[in-house]
Amino acid sequence: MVNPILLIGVPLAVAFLLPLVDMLGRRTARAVHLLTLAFELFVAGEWLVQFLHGAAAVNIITGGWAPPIGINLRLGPLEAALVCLAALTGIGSALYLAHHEEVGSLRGLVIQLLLVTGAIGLIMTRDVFNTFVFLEISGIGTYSIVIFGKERSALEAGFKYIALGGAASTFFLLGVAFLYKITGTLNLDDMIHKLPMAVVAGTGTVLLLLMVGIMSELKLFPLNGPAIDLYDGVEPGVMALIVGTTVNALFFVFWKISALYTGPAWAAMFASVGMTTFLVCNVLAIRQTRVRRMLGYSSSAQIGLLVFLVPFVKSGEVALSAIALLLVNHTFAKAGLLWLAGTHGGEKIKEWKGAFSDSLALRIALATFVLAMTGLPPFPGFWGKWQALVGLAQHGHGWWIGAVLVGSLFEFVYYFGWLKEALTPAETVPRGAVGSPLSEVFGSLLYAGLAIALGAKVLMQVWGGFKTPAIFLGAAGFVLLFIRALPERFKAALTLVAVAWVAWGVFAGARACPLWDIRGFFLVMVLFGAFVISVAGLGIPAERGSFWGLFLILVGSIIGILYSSSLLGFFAGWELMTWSSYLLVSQGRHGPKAGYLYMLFAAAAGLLVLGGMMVAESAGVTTLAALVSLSGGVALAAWGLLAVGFAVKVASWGAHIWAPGAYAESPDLFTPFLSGVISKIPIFGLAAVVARIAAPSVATAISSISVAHILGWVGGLTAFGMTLLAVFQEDMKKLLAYSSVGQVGYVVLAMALLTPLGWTAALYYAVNHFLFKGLLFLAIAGVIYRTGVRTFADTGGLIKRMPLSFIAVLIGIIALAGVPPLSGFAGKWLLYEALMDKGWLFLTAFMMLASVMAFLYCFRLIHSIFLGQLKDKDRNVREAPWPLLLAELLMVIPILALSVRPQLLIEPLQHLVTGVFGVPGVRFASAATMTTHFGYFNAAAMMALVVVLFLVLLFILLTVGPKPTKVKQLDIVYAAEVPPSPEELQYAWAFYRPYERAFAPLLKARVTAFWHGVVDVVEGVAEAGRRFYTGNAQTYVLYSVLFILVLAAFGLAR
Amino acid sequence: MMAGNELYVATGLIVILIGFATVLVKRNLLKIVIGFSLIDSGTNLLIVALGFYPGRTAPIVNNPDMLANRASLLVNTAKVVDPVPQALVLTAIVIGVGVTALMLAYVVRLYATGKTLDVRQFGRMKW
Repeated sequence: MVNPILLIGVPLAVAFLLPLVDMLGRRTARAVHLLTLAFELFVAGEWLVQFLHGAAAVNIITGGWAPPIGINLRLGPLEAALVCLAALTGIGSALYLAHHEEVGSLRGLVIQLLLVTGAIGLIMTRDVFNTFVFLEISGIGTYSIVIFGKERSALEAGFKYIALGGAASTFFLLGVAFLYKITGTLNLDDMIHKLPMAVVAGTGTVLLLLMVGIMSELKLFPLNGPAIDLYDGVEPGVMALIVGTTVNALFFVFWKISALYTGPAWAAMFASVGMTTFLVCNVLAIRQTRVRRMLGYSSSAQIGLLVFLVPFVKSGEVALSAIALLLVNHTFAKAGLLWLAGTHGGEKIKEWKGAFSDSLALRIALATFVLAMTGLPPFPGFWGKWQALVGLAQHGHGWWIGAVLVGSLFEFVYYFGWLKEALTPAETVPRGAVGSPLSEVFGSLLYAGLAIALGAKVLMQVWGGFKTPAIFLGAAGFVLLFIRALPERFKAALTLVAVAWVAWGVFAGARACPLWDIRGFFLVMVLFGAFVISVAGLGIPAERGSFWGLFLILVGSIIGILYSSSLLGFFAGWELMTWSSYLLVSQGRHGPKAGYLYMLFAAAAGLLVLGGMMVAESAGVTTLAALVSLSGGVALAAWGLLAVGFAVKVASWGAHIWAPGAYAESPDLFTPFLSGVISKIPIFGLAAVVARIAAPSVATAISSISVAHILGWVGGLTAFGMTLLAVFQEDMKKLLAYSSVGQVGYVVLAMALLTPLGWTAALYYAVNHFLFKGLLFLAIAGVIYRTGVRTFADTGGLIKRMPLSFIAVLIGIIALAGVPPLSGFAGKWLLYEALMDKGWLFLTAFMMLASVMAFLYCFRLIHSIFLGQLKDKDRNVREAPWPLLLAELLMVIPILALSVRPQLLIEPLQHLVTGVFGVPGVRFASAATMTTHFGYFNAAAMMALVVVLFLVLLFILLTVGPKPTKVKQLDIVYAAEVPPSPEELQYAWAFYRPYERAFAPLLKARVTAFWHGVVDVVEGVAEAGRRFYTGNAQTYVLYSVLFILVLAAFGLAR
Repeated sequence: MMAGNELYVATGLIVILIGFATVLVKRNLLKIVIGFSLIDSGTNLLIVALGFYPGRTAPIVNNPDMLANRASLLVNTAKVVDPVPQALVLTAIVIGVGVTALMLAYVVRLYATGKTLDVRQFGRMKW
């Protein structure tokens, strides 16, 4: 093994020799620079491998004097890993900076090495004064690299940084000197040993000085003003280098020195300062308009989170790996984003429209980093955050968890606000990586790859290997993302094969009917839905090259949810589903904006679910099956958080405002899946997660109401409210969107009954909705594909041009309306019976009213598109492509089958429901007749009756009465009146205006106004709060002095 | 604190405070840099004072035999002032010079861009 002292010696020596090497040419100097970093990486990497195999940490003694007299260094697993990160970031930045002359010059090379050396020294040293020296080396490195900047902004930032740094290093040095006086040693380990024995007045003050020095270097609130300017003003490649070297090293110094700080007061101080930083910086970041400034706030926030966790790791409550994963995640993502920001060059967020649309790899890297920064799976930060939260939960730190979750929500707000811009196609020629050589973006690609690889490795530990369907589909999707050359229809075929292959593997070997348990039940729905979408994809080519790759990742993530037995596995799948569906929604024409809103609500839902799971973890529950053991207040909290999270994800009334946009603007090919399948996954959550917790009651002074009853009302209100809104839509996809949300409201209501009959109704309804809404969205996709329009006023009379689509929509709306003879009737029948059975009579009546209102929009849908007057532009419209019709047929067949024999589904549901409640939901009087307390229902007889009645009526219509006269479409006699606008001629426009007037008070956009109010308040707070950073160097120094005084006032200066 | 070094410690603290006051109050960049220099000097004085014991001699070894025998070195520490703070201050002075030079370099460059030395003119990046 190489002597670790060379890790410091070699780069230091090379830094000073580089000017000589440069005489041989700049290329040689660059090569030597890179070779030095490669040497660091190799040596540290080799040691790291040794340590991971159990080798003990090595102590390096310098100058022949053993500690505590001499300075010693240490290389252990943590140190080796951090040195590796520093060297890797150094290589990435060196390659990047070679393309940015100012800092790529010889001086730049020297200082880059100096920064790396300073960081490695900080990481390895065990001597407190030596720490000060390396602190100054790093500081001087930063000050001098910044001064190269030609822009005044960089100079200003640098001066503020050096001013605050001067104050900070004074605090640090004074702290070191007094500590030496108290303990008589400068060796850290010796000091840790001796400090508790020293009882000297003022020790607290000394420790406080030292700590404020470190916290200032760490850029914690309120000492981070200059650092944020630095991010904003300095070449991003330099900042990436600083993130990967100095920032990590400083955090490690904090970690080492924190051993001196014993007792609850210091632990509380670290946690409070860290969390305040995390919250404040994340909130202030949402009002940033400049990319790099926003990244600066984010960096402060992330370091704040790490600092917050340190006392909990020290006390053994949180695993060390949580911090390690979060730190690695931050290094990868933040350095990567900074390099990308530099390559792109757009300083304002608004300038990022269509970013990197010419480079697939960079686009994937950008998305990867944003997902990693916001703590989404499978990236390392997700696992780190989970471990941290579990540790906090198990030791009763519920309020801290709440704070972490709130701060994380703001991260979603600004990172996805940025990504929204990048995903929005540019009106002009987008900025991008045109001509940027591979070496410039090498670091970004490397770190994106490492983040993906490391994350995937952990995910596979949680979910299983490539043979598990979830991982297989996810990996296939990932590969498909990179295949650009194939035509989209061919990719659809590949997707079809992959889904069919997985379905075969899952179902061929199954001994029992897969529908008999709740997982299998949803699995059938998901795979069938994915299959149908792939068939449709053979007809309508996806508009974006990444559609099918993301789609497979999405399907894989849903299967991961269904297969998981642990809370972690479930939640990982849940969040994977969230981001993959978000990216798919964003592919629509106006998708990025709608997708952003979708993402925010989905993120909030995810954090609520996470919160609920952490409540369960606090009671020691780690698997879904163990949830039954919860009781009392814990059960109430877990139940409430999880149920609200799932309710947000099904767009329940109050949180529904994301849904219309997301459904309407997502790619037409994706909407059927979004509405048919993804909206059912929260229902699975209710069935497989929430329902395992015994529904507790909300005790009040007067009465105690079951939380399930509240959930039932949420579902009922959603069903009613969304149906009402659907009636007045002018856009066919929005109409179906509101309808979808309302229909899922029925399902939520039925689930909330928590009776065998209620669940039978809910699950039957879920399948039915999946079939008819999938069918309707597919048919509408065909109409939009052929006519190119989405509003009712622009279509009409398509019945003769697209007869098969007409039939599909007709079947769809009859099933939706819940009238005989199609399958929807059985669903409504079961629902009403279940509601009456439970005794929720008012809700029963309410739902009947809602169902009748649904007739209005059903009629409008078919009338406005297919009946009425054909538009001139549509005279030559053809029927939808045959694969799309085939996909519709695949949905029609089960609808018709269930219409005649609903027991095909009810019978498996009897098994399923019996498995949960011990008794089946309905009874069968005969093979085809279902009975409940209130009556019986025979679908086949009903169908026969309807067919006979239809034939009789048709016969009467054809034989009795006057013979109809055929007229041409334009054979219209105007009544001497010129219509003021084309819309007035169009029957489909403002179809239900009279009803709209009647319902006007109910239709006021109160919910939207409420959310606008929330946004205004939060933005107002952020806008006012960020004025704290006045931009004046003297103010920032003053903050550091005041910070000491405030902490002293809290009694830390003893 | 032990007797004898209060004057030096107090002087060091006062110089540091004067330095901070200068940094916080003066608007001229050059005066701010002078303020930081005062802080440095005060800190150095304070640290040396911490290692000062009245009546003891400088920690300089002038006997080659003593150097050869490390054990005797440690025995004789009772007769000299603490050498460690002095060593620290030596390093700190060097670093202080470096940082001050860099600060002055910043002032020169800032003056070149803004034609002013008023610190308030260099706060465009904020919020």
